[in-house]
Amino acid sequence: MKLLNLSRIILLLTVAFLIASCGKKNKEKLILEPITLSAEGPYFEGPNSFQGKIGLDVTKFLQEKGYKQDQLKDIKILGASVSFDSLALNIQDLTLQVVSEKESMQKLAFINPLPSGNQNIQLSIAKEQKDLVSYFLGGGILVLDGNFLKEIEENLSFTLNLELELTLKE
Amino acid sequence: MRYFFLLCLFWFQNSDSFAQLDSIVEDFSEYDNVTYTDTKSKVFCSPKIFDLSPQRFVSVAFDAQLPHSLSVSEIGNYLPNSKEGIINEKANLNYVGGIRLYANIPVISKNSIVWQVGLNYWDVNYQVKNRPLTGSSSNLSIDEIQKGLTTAGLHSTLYKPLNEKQFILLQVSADLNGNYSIANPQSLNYLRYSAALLWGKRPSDRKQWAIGISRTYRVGEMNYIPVFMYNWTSPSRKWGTEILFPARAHVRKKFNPSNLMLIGYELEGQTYRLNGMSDQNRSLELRRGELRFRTEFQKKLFGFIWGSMQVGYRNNYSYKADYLNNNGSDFYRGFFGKQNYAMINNLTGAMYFQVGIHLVSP
Amino acid sequence: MKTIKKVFATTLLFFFLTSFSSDEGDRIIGLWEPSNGKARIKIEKIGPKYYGKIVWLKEPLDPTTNAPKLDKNNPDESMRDIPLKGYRMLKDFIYIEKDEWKEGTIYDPESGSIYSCVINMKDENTLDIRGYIGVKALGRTDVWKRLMVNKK
Repeated sequence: MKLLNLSRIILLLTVAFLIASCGKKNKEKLILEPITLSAEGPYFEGPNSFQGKIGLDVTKFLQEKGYKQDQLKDIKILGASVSFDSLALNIQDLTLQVVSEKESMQKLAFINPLPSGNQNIQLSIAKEQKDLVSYFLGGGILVLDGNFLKEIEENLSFTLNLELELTLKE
Repeated sequence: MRYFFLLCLFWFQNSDSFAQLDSIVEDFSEYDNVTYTDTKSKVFCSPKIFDLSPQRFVSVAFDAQLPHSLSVSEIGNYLPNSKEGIINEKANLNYVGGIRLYANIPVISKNSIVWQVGLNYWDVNYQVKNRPLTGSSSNLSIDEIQKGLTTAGLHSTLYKPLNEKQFILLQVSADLNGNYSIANPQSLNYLRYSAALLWGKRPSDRKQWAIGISRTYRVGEMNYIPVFMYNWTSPSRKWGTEILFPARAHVRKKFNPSNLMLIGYELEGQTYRLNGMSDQNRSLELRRGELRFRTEFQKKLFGFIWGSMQVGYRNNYSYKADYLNNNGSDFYRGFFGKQNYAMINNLTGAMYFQVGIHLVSP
Repeated sequence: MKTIKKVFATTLLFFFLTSFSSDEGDRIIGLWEPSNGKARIKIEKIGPKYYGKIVWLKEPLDPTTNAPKLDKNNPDESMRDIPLKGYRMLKDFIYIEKDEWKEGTIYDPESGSIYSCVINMKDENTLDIRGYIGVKALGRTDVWKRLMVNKK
């Protein structure tokens, strides 16, 4: 009996220790400053790519909130929307990806087909998002690929709005 | 002055380079209107078609037959079409089976040729439940079988596409089969050789067929038989066939890219030297052939690791035995040969299952 | 005077080097066709890495839907409506040296599988693309040929 009680106490203490050592995690939402994705025209029928660099929003956010970078455990994309000039309405689909020097390219969101007549579009977010922290802290590049239905002579740019969820360890 | 001219020269060259970059404009809308800067590479037909079950690089499996019984005849001189010999001993078997290891590694793997070599190792253990008394003398054959049957072999496959539609397939193997242990293997004089040579066509991404000839031990003894291969996938990509007749034939149902099912049969067999019943004058070879009807489920576990589970019924095709000269050479009886058997043994049918884990090919 | 000469020499050296310093890895940039002729891939550079996207398909329509082919075998279900035309099937290649681009991956839309990949340039118009799993021995090499788009 004594041995059983002792075992139970040890088990409870172990569980408590494990929970404590995991640390409390906070989730914070962050809407990034709009990012311009651009490429020089003209654009021909078929696939075209637009790029833009990820800013220092996440770094600044962490500083303002008093967190260190290693406390940032995870980043998830909650929402992504793209707005563009009416000239870009002849686009079949858009795919948003992120690249960086140290990480492999990852798909973040896409839309196919684009809803007609709409110049501000919500993208479908990828279910699988892995290790996005390094992209948003380490100068990642966002790449927007679009399949154009016809040629466009004029220069275009897209404005990307991203909403992130940051998981922070206290 | 000299420096000034040199500076101009390099600056000009630089400017030219920048101009080249700015002026690169590719016409995306005309990707169907292209020219090869060199010669177009020769097109060869792929060894695969859509949705075939994945080819295995490395395989580890466990095979088990459920309880059944074995009757072993006396050594004698039995006509080839004899169904039963003079029963010497019977045994009820709890379980027959063991581990199966397989590796098939590409040596050369290009679109113009694929050459693979590999090895296989099968262990068949017999767990005897009881040996009902038959009142006959013992000639130790069940004792010999209880030592287990081992197969260790090397094989090589060459796939050579001739052009976009035709190909040649050559497979050769050498197996050492007997009731030996790895620590104490039998002589390589008893290696048994099999081969198959096929010529085939791949008319589309969903169909592939070939005809050829093989030397095989799948019925338990050496035989030369024609071979017919037919791999096909339906337009919906959900159904298909994987046939290498008469060795095996399956209908395939693909549920999704990570799960599929095969239903069909396979003929398995080898000839095994029973070392304890062989002496310096002659070698007793057990001609073991099985017809397995089965359903197999294959599932992608992660990455390129797949798991498989087979359940089915094993029907005995042959469990006869021959005495051979002890120089290791085998003889050809085929389907119509008149050479007598030394033993006519029988196995009753049994349910079986097999589970495995495999590293598969891209 | 000596100082001016040194400045000139340094400037000359700088321009000499920069005129030839365009990345050797950029030789892979362009339009390529795999041996089966079923697609054409444009390789381009994003940042320091090289990527290849499908810009043309021999059979662009899915026979079951009669619509442009989609990435329907993608293991991430949420990504299965992405069209194959425009799809980046070669990703993250870095030029190492001696005509070799490494540390990239190649995606097979037929199976939804991603393989490690290494690219060797046999000559200016020929690439050996080897996709493999784990070790290079467990893979397959395909030969890609360079294409030039005909001007209108």
